[in-house]
Order: sequence, then structure tokens, then C-alpha cells
Amino acid sequence: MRTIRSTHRRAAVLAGFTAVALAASPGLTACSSTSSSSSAAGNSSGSASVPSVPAGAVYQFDDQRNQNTDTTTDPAVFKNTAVRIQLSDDLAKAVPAGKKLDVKSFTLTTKGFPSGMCRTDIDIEYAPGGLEVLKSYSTEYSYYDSKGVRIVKKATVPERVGLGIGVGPTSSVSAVPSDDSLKKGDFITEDFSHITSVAQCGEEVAGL
Amino acid sequence: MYIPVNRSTSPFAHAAVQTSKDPNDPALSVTGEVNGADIGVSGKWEPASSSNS
Repeated sequence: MRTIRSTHRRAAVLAGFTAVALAASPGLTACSSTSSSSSAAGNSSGSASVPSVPAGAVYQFDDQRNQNTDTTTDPAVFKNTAVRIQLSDDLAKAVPAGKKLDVKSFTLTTKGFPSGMCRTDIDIEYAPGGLEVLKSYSTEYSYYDSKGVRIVKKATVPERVGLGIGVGPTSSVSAVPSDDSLKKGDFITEDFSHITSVAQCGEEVAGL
Repeated sequence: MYIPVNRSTSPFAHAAVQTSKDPNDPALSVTGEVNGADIGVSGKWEPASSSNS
């Protein structure tokens, strides 16, 4: 029997940081922004309002690395634009037989504030049937449990939608937080369509 | 974040995303990784059209 610990290495690293995280920081004023107004201010209606992205701002893992062997790949950097993350056609062809994608793409925008905080908004575009599949599991780890794997960690909400946001507890919200009510943390809308991550600029906002 | 395959428990690919340190010059850096075990390779990934043919 295998034992599954959190797949989110960074979540463990930042556990102490989270404990002393900033309290609410209302009234933040943006310095400048790569985010569209539709994504950053109250968009909670789902994938239909995913921001548009120029062709050059689609990240398709063309310069990806093998997670087990390659630690040298430089990141792709995107300024003043929303960024869409999705699989290239070639990678989609390599999806293991019998499996299908749950998420078609993630679209990210970010905005900085004079306080040094940044908000990153993530719109999730689900593949057909993907959201229903994810909702059918009460927790990510119920899947492991069904496979006879001992569970050592409770799932968090973003893990249910396949996001590894590791900076602290995630709150389920009815609407995306506005700039005037921002506080540090991660917030996912109740319909699983959007996540807002608020953290110190320069921090990794999502991923392992 | 993951680009999940089938379930979020099977992250075929994922991307680490980081904001820039300067709030006046916001940017996103993205580093993507793929699960070598899922795609059947042990070294650096190459596009399926050349490595999996």
C-alpha cells in the first residue's frame, strides 16, 4: 500500500508563513495591471466570461520539462497580458489511453498594489464533463481511498479542481473579491469557475 | 496548477506560476512540467510527433 502525502510541496513549506500571514488589507489600490476588468472585479459567472488572450500569451507546455529529471528550464514570462495555460495538441495526444482532460485551460491575470501585494485571478475553462467528474468526488483523496491508498491529508477545495495553490487556507466565496476587500489568501467561487489568489508579489501563486 | 487528466489526482501536466516582485511591473512567469511516467519517457520531454512515433 502506498502512502500519499500532499502533492503540494510548497504548501508544506509555507505552512509557517501562513500562520503569520497578513491580516485583511482592505482598500488596496492597484499600481498597474495585466488583468482585465472582467476577471478582476466580480466575475463569478463561469467560463463564459474568460478573458481573451492574444496568441502570444498562450502557454502550451512547449518548453516544459520532465518533472523528474529536468530542473533547468527557464520560465516563460508574460507581461501586460492575460495568460492562458493549456496543453498543446501534441501533448493532448499523449494523454494516457482511457483518460480524458477535466480542464481545458486556465486563464490567469495579475495585478500589483503599492503595498507589495499581488492578486492573481484564475479563470477555469472545463473540458466537457470535466466539472461533473470532479464534483463527483467529495475530496480528491476519495479517489485514492477507492484505490486502497491510505490517506494522510484532507483535500482542500482547489485540489478538487486540480489547482495546487499552496499559500494557505482557501475560502469558498459566492463572488470574486473586489480590490477594495482584498485580503491575503486564496478564494474560489462556489461554482468552481474562478480562483483569486492574493499574496506578496514575487511569490509562487499556484503550482507545486 | 494542474492540467488534470481524468481526475485531479492524475496530474498529467502542471505549471508553476509566479508573480513578479515589482508590483509596478506585474508579470507572470510560468514553468510547465509534464508527468514523464504518464507519457512514457524518462528524460526530457519532446513533442509527441517526434518522440512517440
